[in-house]
Amino acid sequence: MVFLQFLLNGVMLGSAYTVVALGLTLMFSIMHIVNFAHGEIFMLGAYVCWVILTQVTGNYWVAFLLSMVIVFFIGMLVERLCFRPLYEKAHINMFIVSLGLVIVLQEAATLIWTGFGKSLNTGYKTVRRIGQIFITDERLIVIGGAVVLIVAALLFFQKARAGKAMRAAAQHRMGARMVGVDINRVSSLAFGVGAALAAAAGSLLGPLSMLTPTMGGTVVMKAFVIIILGGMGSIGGAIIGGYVLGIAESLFAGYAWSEWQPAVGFVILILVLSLRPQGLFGRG
Amino acid sequence: MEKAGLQRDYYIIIAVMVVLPLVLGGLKAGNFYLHVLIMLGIFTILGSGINLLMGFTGQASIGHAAFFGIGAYVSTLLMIKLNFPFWAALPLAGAAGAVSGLLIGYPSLRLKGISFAIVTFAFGELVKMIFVNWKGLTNGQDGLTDIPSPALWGINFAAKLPYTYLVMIFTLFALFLVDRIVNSRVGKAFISIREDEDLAASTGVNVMQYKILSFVISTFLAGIAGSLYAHYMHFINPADFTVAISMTLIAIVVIGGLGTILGPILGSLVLLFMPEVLRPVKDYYYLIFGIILIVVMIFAPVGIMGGLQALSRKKASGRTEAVSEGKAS
Repeated sequence: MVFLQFLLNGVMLGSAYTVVALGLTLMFSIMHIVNFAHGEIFMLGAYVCWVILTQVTGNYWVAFLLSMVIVFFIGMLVERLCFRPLYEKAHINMFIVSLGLVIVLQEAATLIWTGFGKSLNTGYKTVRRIGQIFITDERLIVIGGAVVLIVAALLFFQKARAGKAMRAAAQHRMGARMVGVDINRVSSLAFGVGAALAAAAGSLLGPLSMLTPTMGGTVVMKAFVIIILGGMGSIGGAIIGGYVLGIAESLFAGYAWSEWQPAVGFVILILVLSLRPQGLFGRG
Repeated sequence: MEKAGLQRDYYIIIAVMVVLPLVLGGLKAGNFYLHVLIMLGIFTILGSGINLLMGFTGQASIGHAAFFGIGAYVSTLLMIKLNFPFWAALPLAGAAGAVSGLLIGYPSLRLKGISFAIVTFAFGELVKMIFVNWKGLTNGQDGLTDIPSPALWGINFAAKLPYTYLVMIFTLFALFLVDRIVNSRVGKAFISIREDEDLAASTGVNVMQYKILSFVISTFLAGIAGSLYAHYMHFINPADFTVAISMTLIAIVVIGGLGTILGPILGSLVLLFMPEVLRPVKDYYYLIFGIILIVVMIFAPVGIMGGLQALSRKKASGRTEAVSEGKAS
């Protein structure tokens, strides 16, 4: 039954990765931003949640939602200041700006919260037994919370007016503008939503390990592997890619060598690029 | 980029590189200045490679510290474990950088866009993991110590001055190499890829082949820089070759001026002198470095060199105006 245990762990990781990757793919498909600072936004979300939880209220869910809201606005600000001036320039410029943001956000977090790990304690530590497998409430919350966020995001893209405007902008920026979509508003909203999703993932995964200013680095890499695996800009691909990577990593770490777990992403990356470069669900 | 101007610059650069170590080495804090010069040289070699790839070919590698590290570890291990002389270990370190660049570039440079950047990033993590986990060879987190200095004709390369000249020679080599390439047919192909990949392909440029070539040259230079670094520091560990170093290298090139030959020197100067200038606010210095990177990219995408070139053009056009006015009167 150890297999089911690993599988459940993989589903948990995959759920959280998917939430991060959704925001990333949103920013890429609408604004062509390859946002390397997405992991730092994830980190920021976890820290904001920690600050609210320890200083303002003891309620994890209030802290979780407030962190999403605060980071949503920070995201809109970042889009306005750092990326909007560059939409008409070469895409590599935005990419380099995002690298600058990585440095700025990591350093700012180190100055404010020091490099020492902080623990985000939700209080949900009870261990449950489901058949043969054991799981803590914390981990169940990751799965449940992530699934709710993924479904909410899908509904938003399909049903909400702003979500439809985003899809239109992703299909054709100029075309969307011609039918009356306010492209600046959509870009700003898309960055905000993406940032809020990353923040939520940070608050979900944060309790499982220590918060550090560099915690976003590995997460952003996984998110990029996922969107390349799923196909750039494909939302369904990001979801499936997220679970594939999470489960593959978890099984590999469980059955093979845990210290080489990060290599799984690299191997998947090279295989996808060699065999199916457009990704599983890409349009080629 | 006018050829004549650059060739004139070369004599200046060579003169500076010959004289500067002697002058600085003679000062009171001579060893400190020589240390700065050596690091400046190593960063310039690394930066020149990244500049060829990013500034001239338009492809971003964010795992360059990995190739720098591969060069350092290969060179060190060849000398320590297999008793290779430095003069064999150094080119082999460059070759190791080039070969790993080829292996990584082949699958990832076939596509337009970001997959290449992501693969280099993932490769950076993988290589660091190997440095940490392959303890039998790399000694893990503790790193390798007592790395020997080069030896030749009884010159003591453990002293700072001879090593400074050694680094200067390779710095010059890197600058010269990049300049020659950029001003050749190959360089034109690189630039055409940077400007518009599809257009370049449609005019018959073998885009993938040229992208790989540009990448391999840059990883070769990173390997050389790694060897020079290892035998200077006499100690390397995985923390010397992290993603943060890769980012710093990109920042150097961008701040100095993407797509300019001398940009990497200026960017490295900024990096090395910032801790001195910003000593009162030294905790904030890396933060300020990041902010500079963003501001430069938004407001002055050609960096310091771009600014200097615009200035000199202004001056030149001012002069011609004065001349034509003189004619009119």
